[in-house]
Amino acid sequence: MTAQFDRMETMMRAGTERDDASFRLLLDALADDDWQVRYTAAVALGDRPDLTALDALLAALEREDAAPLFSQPREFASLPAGANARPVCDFPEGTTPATIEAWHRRGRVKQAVCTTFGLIGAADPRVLAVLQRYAVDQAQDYAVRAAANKALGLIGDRASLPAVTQATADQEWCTKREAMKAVVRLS
Amino acid sequence: MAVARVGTTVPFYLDNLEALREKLARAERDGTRMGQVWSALRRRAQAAPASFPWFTPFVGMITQAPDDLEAARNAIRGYVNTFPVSPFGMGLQFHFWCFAFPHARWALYFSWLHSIGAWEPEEAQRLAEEFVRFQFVHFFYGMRTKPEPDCVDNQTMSLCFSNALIGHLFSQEPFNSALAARMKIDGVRRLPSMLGGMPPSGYSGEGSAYMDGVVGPSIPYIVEYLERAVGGDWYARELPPHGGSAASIVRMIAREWMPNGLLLPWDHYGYALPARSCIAYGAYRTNEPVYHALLNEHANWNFEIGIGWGFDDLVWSLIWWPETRPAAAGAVFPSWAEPEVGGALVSDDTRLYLMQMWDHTEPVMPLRAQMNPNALILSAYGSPLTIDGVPGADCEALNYDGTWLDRGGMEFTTRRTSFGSGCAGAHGVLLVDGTESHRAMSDYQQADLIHADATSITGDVTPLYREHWPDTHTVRRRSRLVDGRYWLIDDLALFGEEHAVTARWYLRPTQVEAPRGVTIETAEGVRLTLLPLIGPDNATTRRIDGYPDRLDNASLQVDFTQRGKEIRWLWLAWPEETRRVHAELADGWRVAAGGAVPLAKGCELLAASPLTLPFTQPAFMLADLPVTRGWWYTRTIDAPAGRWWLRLPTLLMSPHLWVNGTEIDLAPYASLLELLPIQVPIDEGGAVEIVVYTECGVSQYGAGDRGGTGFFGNPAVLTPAPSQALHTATYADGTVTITAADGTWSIDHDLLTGEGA
Repeated sequence: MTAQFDRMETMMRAGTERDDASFRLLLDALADDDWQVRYTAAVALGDRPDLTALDALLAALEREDAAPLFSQPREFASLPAGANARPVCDFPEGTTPATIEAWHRRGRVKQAVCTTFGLIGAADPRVLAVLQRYAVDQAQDYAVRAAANKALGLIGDRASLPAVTQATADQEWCTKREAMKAVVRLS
Repeated sequence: MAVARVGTTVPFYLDNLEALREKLARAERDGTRMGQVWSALRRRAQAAPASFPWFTPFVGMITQAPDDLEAARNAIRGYVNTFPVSPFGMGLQFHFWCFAFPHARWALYFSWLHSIGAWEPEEAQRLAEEFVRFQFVHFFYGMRTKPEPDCVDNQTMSLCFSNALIGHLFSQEPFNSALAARMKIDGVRRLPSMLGGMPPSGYSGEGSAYMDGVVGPSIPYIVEYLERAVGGDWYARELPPHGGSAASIVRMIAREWMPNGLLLPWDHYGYALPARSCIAYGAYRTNEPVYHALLNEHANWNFEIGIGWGFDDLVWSLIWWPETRPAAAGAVFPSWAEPEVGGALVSDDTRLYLMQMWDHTEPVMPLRAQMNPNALILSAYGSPLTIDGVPGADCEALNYDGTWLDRGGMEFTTRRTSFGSGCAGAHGVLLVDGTESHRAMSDYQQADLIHADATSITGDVTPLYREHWPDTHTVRRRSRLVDGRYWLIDDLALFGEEHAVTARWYLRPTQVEAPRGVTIETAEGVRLTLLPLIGPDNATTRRIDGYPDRLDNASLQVDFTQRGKEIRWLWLAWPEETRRVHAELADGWRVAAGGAVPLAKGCELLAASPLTLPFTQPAFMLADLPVTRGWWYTRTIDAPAGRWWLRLPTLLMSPHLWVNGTEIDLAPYASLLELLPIQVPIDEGGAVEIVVYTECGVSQYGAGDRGGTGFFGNPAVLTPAPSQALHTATYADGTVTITAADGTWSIDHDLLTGEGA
C-alpha cells in the first residue's frame, strides 16, 4: 500500500471511530502537506460532527484561500473520458509545484470543509462569514459555492438569508438549487 | 489492503461466466445476429487490441487466451496511467460525470480479471488503490456537488453509480477499503432515487441523445447492482419520490426508436442512431417481443457513440441479450401515449409514424428540455419528414432577441451562446404575435393529454400560452392517423382578443412545386404535402441552412398565418412513396483492402483479391482480416432501364462511387450517410459495374474513427413506385374527402373543440 493511500484509509477509518486520538489525528491531518489527505480528513470529520473541529477547519480554509489561484492559459491534458492513452501535459514554464497542486485539487478541500460545517450545524460567526462569502463568490468553483449554500441552509441562521438569496441568481444549476433550498429553510 | 493472487469472487454482473461463454459460442456457430455481433467484436479485439481497448476485457474473460488477457491488462494499465495528468484537463475538472461512468467500468473490468486470477498481487494492489483514490478525490467530490435528492439526471446517475459500484467492489474482501466503504454508503443511498426521481413516463426531459446514450445504458448497471448489493426486484418497482421505475425508462428508450431506424429528434441534439445495450436488457428482463425485434431486425450494430462515455455498448448488449426469442410476435413500434410527455401514432405496417410532444420545458432558458408544445415528428416509408434539433455553429437563424446567455465562472473564458433553438420559434408549433423567443418563464403544469387511442391523440398546451397572453382560452392540437395512409391534424387556438397566429413547420429542405399547400421531397424519395383544409393557405417558406446540424444540414421553415380570436386549421399531411426496392444487393461483392488510390489501382487490387463478401459491414468484421481503414468493393448488377437508385449502407466514411468507370460525386451525401442509407440516382441500364471505395473506423479513439464506427446495411436497387400523387382534398359537412392516384378516401371528422380539458 502506498503511504498516501494508507493515510487516506486511516483518515477515513478515523471518521467511523469516536475516541479522542482518532479525532486528534483528523484535526492534525487538516494541515497535512498532501491535499488528498486533507480532503479525506475533512470528509471524515463530517462523519463525526464535533464543534471542537471548527478552529482546525477554519484554519484549513485559510490555508486554501492563501494557496495560488488556479489558472489555465490554454487547454491541455485533455483526452476523451475513459480513454486509455496518456495525454500530453506540459505545464507553462515557471509553474510551481504549489500552483500545480492547487490546480489539481481546485475546490475539493473547500467543498469538504463547507459540507462538514453544514453537518456540524453551528452558527459560529466566523463560519457563517466564510460560507456567506463563498456562497456568492464567482471566483470559487461551483462545487464550493453549492456546498456553501447548502451548509448555510443546514446551519439555519437567518443572517445568511441575504447571501443565499443573492446566490439564487447564480447561473450554475447546483449552486442555484442549493441556494433556493437554503432560502426556503431560512425563511 | 492485502490482495490475494487467486480470484476470490465471481465476476460482478457476469455471474455465470461459463453460461455466457456457451451462449456466445452457440450464437457464433449458428450465425445468429448475436453471433455476428460477437464475431465482429472479437475479431477487432484480437486483431487490433490497442485500438479497441473497451472490447478487450470482455474478450479476455470469454476466451481466457493468454494474448487476450494480456491485451485486457494492457488496456486497464493504460487507463490507470492517465491518472497523473487527466485532472489537469478541463474535461475531468468541469465535466466530472463524463469521467466517472467510464472509470467505474474500467474498475469493474479490473475486478473481472482479478476474479479469474489474472493479476499479480502487487500490481492488483497498486491498481486497486489507484481506482479507489481517483474515484474518491474526483467523483465522490463530484457526487457531493449534485443536490440531493432533487438532482436526477444523467450526470448524477453516472456519479452515484460509480460511487456505489467502486464502493462495493473495493470495500469487500480482499480489498477492504475504508474509502470505498464510505463511497458506497452515499452512492447506494442515492441510487434508488435515480430511478424513482424519474417521471413515471420514463422520460428524463433531456432529449433522446442523453436518454439513449447515458440514462438508458445506466439502467442495467443500477438495477443489477441494487439487486446484488441490496436485494429484491429493482426493475419493475415504482419508486419514490416520483414513481419512476427502471421498467418505464427502458420502455421509453424503446419508444424513442422510430421505424426509420433513428431516435426521435426530441429536445436537444436531434436525430441520432440508437444504442443497443438497454434494449438487450429490456429483452433480458421482460422477454417482450419488441425488444428482441429491435435487436435482431432494426438495430444498426456498427454505430458507436460511447454509451456513458465508453465504447462498450456491444459488450453489454451481448451480456444481456437472451438467446431464445419468445414465440409470440407483437408490434415492434406500437402506438403509445403518456400524459406528461406526448404520444405516437404508428400504422400497422409501421410505414407511417407520427409523434406529438408536450413534454415539460425548462423555464427561462430551455437549453435541453425545450419549448415544443404539440410539435410533431413525422416519418413515412423509412424517411424522416420533419426536423428538430440544434443549429450548426454558423447558423444564426435561431438566435432570437433575448435568448443570449453569457456563461462563465466554471471555465476559464466567458462564452456567449443563444438558447434560441430551445424556444418555440425553432419548433413546429403555433407562434403568437410573431414571438419566436416564446418560452416558459416560470414553473407550472404546462400541458395535458386530452385524448389518446390507437389512431388519435390530442394535447392541450394552453398554460404555456396563457403565461404570456393572459387572454388565452385554449391552445390544443389533435393528430389522427387515417386508414394507415395519411394524417389529419387539427389546430385550435382561442383568445379573448385578436392575435396574429402562425402555424410553423420545419420540414426536410427540398420543396417541390405544388398547386396548393406545401410539398417537399426527401433525399430518400418520400414526399409530404401539407395542405390546410381549413385555415388560410398562405404559406411563406424559407430555407434554413445549418438547421439542423445533421441529416440535410438544412430545413424548410414553413409559416401559415391568420389573425383572429378563434384560430383554426385542419391540416392534411399526405405522404407519398416514390421509390421501392427492386432488388437486394447485399451478397456477392469482390472485396479488397487498400487506400484511397485512383480507380485503376483500386480495380487492380480488386482483381487480385480472392475475397468475396457481403457489402453489409466492414470486411474485418465478417472475416479474420486485418483491421484496416480503406476497402474497395465491386459487383456487376443487372440494372433496370430508366432512372433507378443505388441504395448504399449507412455510415460509409469518405466514400467514392464509380458506375461503369465514371465517378459519381458523393459529397452532397456526406451528412446524410451518417444517419440514413443514401440513395444515388443512376440512369444507366443493363449490365452495370459498380465500384465503391469506403473507409471504416479502425479504433475507438483515433481521429476520424468515430469510436470504431463502421458501415452497416444492405445495398439495393430502387426503382420508381406507382404514383400516390394527391389530386384533390376537401373538408365539407364534417367529412374529409381525398382523391389521389392510388385511391379515394372519405372520413368523418368532427372539428376539434375546447371541451374536455
